[in-house]
Formats: sequence, C-alpha cells, structure tokens
Amino acid sequence: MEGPELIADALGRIRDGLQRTLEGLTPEEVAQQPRPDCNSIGWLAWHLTRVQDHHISELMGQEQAWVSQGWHQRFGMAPDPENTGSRHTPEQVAALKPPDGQTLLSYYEAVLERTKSYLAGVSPQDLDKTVDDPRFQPPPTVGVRLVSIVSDNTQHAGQAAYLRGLMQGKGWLPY
Amino acid sequence: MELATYVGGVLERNEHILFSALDGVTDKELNWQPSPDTNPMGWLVWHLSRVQDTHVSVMQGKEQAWTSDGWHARFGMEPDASDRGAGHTSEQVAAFRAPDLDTLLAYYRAVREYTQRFLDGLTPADLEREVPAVRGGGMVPLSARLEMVVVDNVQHSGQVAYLRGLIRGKGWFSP
Repeated sequence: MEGPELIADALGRIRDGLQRTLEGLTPEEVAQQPRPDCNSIGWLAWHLTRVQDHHISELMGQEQAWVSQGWHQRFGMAPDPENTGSRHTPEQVAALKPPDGQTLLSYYEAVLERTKSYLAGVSPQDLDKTVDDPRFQPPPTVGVRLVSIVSDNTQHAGQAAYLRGLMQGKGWLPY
Repeated sequence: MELATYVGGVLERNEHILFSALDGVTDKELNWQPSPDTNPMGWLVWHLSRVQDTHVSVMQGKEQAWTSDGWHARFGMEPDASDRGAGHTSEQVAAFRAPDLDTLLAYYRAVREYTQRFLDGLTPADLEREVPAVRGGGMVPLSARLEMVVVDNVQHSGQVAYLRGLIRGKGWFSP
C-alpha cells in the first residue's frame, strides 16, 4: 500500500473512533471540560476536523468545507477559514458548544470525503512537492504535511476517547 | 511513500509532542490519575512502548527488548512478554509505579531503535507476509499489524500531552 492510501486509511479509522467516542453523549457531555483550561471532547473533535479541512483545502487549492458547505453555520460560528482552534484561549474553548455529537461526526465525514477524493489523485511524485507555508523553513513536503495531519488528528482522537473514560469511567469501550 | 517511510514519519512526528509533554515531569505527575479509572502518564508511556515492543517482535519473529534486554527488571516487573497493559484492571493500573522518567524514556528509545531497524529492512514481500492479528485470532498482513502500532502509540501520546495540560494548566505547549 502506498502513502496516499495509508493516509486515507488512517483518517478513516479516526472517523470510526470518533463515532464510538461520541455515541450516546448529550450535548452537555460533549462540551464538558475537566478544567476551565482543558479541551472538551467536542472542542477536540471540532479542532481535528478543522485542521484536516484547513490543510487539505490548502493542498487542493480550494475553499474549506467549513465555508463552502456551510458547516460554520451549523456550529453557529463565523466562516473564518483561519479559525482552526490553534491558539484558542480558555474562553474560546469554553464558548465552543457544538449542537450535538452527530453534527461533529457529520462535519468530520464531509471533510474526510474531500480528503479521500484529493488523496485518490495524489501520485508518489506529488508527495515530494513542497507546500507553500512561510511558517516553516525549509517548507514541508506534501508527504510531511499529510503525515502531520495523521499525527495531529490521531492524538486528538485519542484525547477525546480518554475524556470519555474520565467522564463515564472504565468500560464504555468494548476492549 | 512506502509503509516503512509512513510509519517512521508518523512516529517521529508524534515524538515531538510526546517528548515535549514529558519534559521535566516529576515522579508524582507520572503516576497521577485524574480518576481511579483513568491511566496516568507513566502507565501510558510504558504501555505504548510495550505495544511497539510486542508488535515489532512478533512481526520479526524475535524476542522483545522487555525480556531479552532486561528492561522488565529496570521497571521492577516480571519478564512477562504477554503483559503490555491491554486489559489491565483499574487495580493493576493504580498499582503500576513508573520508574524514573529517564528509565521510562530509555525503554521507549530502545524499542524505537529496534523498530527503526526493522522498518529499514522491510521488503515489499515482508509487507504481505501474514502475522497473527492482535485481536480475535486469525492472521493479517504484516502491514496491518504495523499500522496498529501507529494508531495505538499516537493516540496514547496525545493522551500524555493532554494530561500534562490537565496537571499543569494551559501554556506548556506552543503550536
């Protein structure tokens, strides 16, 4: 299996993990923070999806699903493509109240669909092309950028699962 | 991007967060549980290292570093190759005492070195070779088992990072 397929697989597994983590949670539980400056399950799921949406759209040279598909409206937020949650203050984290777990999952699924269609067209040579990101010197390659999405998204998905256990105790996950 | 490059890349990217999150952590913090049912940082780092050690040794058909290089003794634990923390009860997690941070990290790094040598030597034929599945019996391609290492290690590393924030508050991490 080659890189693009591995990335698609990994991001697909995150979707399954998010579904398990969000299943049956009330909106209050989704927004629950263990401490005022710690992230909620909802914020984590929103943020990891925003990161994927932001980075993949950049690679595609297209507008983010957040904006073009109106997901910002379903979250009651402004269509700001740069708002991915990075550098959010505790107040901003606390203010993020997703309508429900299903909206979070649906946003992730919409972004994943775009990501998969993008990855289907990526060749091994494309992975070595550099990404125009002035924050990094030297600039990352497409391959490095995709790997960073997998790492970031997987870490946050793991955090969300941990929080469910913190909230509900051991046993919510079948294994 | 071949599987070996992908796995090495994600693990390396993940380590930036993992090592930052552990920087300067005290023994007390390593063993702190936010609730009786949740895993502390020390257990998480031990577990993810055990997972990597276990899977790579199965895929290579070699003994684990845990037993062959005496790491179990440095953790004050039995040379039980089957114990990687999966299925631990709350009592077992609470009873786990991480060794000092240096030893914890040294075990991870030792395992990681074996893993990298394994990755560097992988051939396309190796990837198709069947190895035992982690759960449920049966056999899976080696590539599938290798991807499971990434999923486990990166999720748990994210959890370690979350715990650092839970313990010390916002501000330790700069994106």
